[in-house]
Amino acid sequence: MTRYISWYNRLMFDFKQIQGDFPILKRQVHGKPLVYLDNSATSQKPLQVIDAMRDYYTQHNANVHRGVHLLSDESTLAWEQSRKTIAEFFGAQAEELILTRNTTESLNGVAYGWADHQLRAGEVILTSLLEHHSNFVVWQQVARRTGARVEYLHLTETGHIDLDDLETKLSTGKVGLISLAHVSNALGSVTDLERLVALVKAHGSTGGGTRPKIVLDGAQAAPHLPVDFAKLGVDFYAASGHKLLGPMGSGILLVKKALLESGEMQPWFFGGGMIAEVGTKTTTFNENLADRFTPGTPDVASAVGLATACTYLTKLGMKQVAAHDLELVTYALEQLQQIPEITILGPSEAGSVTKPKRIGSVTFLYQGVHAHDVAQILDSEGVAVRSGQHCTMPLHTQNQWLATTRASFQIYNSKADIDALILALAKVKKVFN
Amino acid sequence: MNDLSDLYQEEILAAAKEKHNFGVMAKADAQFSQHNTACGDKIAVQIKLSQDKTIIKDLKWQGDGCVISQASISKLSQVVIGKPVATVNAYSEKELLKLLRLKSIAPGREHCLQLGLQALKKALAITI
Repeated sequence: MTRYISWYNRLMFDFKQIQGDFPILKRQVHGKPLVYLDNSATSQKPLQVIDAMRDYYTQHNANVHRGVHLLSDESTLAWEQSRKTIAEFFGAQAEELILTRNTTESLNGVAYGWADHQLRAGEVILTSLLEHHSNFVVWQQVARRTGARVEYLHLTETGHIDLDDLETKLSTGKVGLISLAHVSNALGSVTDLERLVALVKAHGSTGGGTRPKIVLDGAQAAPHLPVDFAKLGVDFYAASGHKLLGPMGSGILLVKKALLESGEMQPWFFGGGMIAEVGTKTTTFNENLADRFTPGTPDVASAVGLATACTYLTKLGMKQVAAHDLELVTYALEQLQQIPEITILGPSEAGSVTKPKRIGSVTFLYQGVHAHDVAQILDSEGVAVRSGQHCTMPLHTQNQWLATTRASFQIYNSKADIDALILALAKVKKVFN
Repeated sequence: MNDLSDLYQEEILAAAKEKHNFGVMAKADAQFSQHNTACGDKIAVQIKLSQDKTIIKDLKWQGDGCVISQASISKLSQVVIGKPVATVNAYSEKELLKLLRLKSIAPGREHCLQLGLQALKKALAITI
């Protein structure tokens, strides 16, 4: 009981109010109350986000920029204000924000907009063995197109990206691009960005004397940790809006303004809206950086929804969100490790808000039972988790894990949800006894 | 939607555990390995056909996976040996459900159910 009291006291936000904002959580599945622990795949959306999008469509919908009428003006304002709010949430300037559909599209944007033009044959792209396929396959394809070579950083015993290995690989002087997960989607491990950036600054200069560019895949970090793009010291930051309470089909790519202004980062989608002057032989691109990377009609409603999600999280405070999440991870680790059949994968401790080690999820193996069967049985008890390889086939292959089960958290989850998970896991044993 | 007790009925659990016709064949006429990228499951099927290639004379399979994928290929292997290739090629989800005595399967588990049959059909295809 003391544990619960201390936990609730530490929370700066009204937990019951939060749960009330997510009507889907009141649903029953298979006759049981829904316990949604598949947040790394996508989060649920609060009423505020749903209402803001409904309001946009019922009151303001029109195409942006091009109309000389009130609705078009209102829509343009909604678009621009939303971009500003989203950028501020990530500590970026509005011009540095490119709205995409998801992290995958954002990473492809770096590949087509920057890497294809800037990387030379023989240069090295560094990524790691724990990356999501979207931060893996993209670079293999860039390597094919540019003649650059992909190398993979090893992992430490705790399941973190081995930064000693980064130091070694940087010393070759051939690294042109480093693209790593801020937080692993499979293991929850948090990359030590301070050390990463310091190492790159100290060691990393390519043949041409420029330091390698750093891309962070923030899909699993942005929903749980404060992100301050101005202070991070990285060049690109990709994340998914739909994992941080925003609508499906919303994602972001942050690009350092200098890279946009110099033209080093180029548009990779072409068409209306992003141009300045179009001729039969040449076309120049829009001077306005935001417009240059917004080809065609933008998804204004999604931008409005994502901005509302950002405002929602800002009101809660991302530090409080992080503290809440770390508490859940700590509790889940403590509870799961008491089940003899379970082997926890990845870091065994959550760490603190200032030094997080594991956040967002807990992944495990259940001895003798395939992850799909575990997930199916949990589902029958109303507990939604993910099973499979979580788009990290190289990580699973290297560790000879056939498939794993992942429980992942959001602000609306409580320790009671983890208790429900533990109780539902007892049924796995019953069925497979 | 299936009731969980249907999905994990004794017969399915037993078929997955017993792994009928699991193993390796010395001289197969064809083999094919089917990989499910969603979960990492893999089933490799080897077959031996009659001389005129119309009848499945023998089948062996290997692989690891969830109860549904294992039970499905295990049961399937029992019924296809001795059957005409044409009959087996016409098999679909319907036959697999019947073998496992299921009324239906959730969309998220369809690929588990089908994995072994897909491998078998491809093995048959490359013998022609």
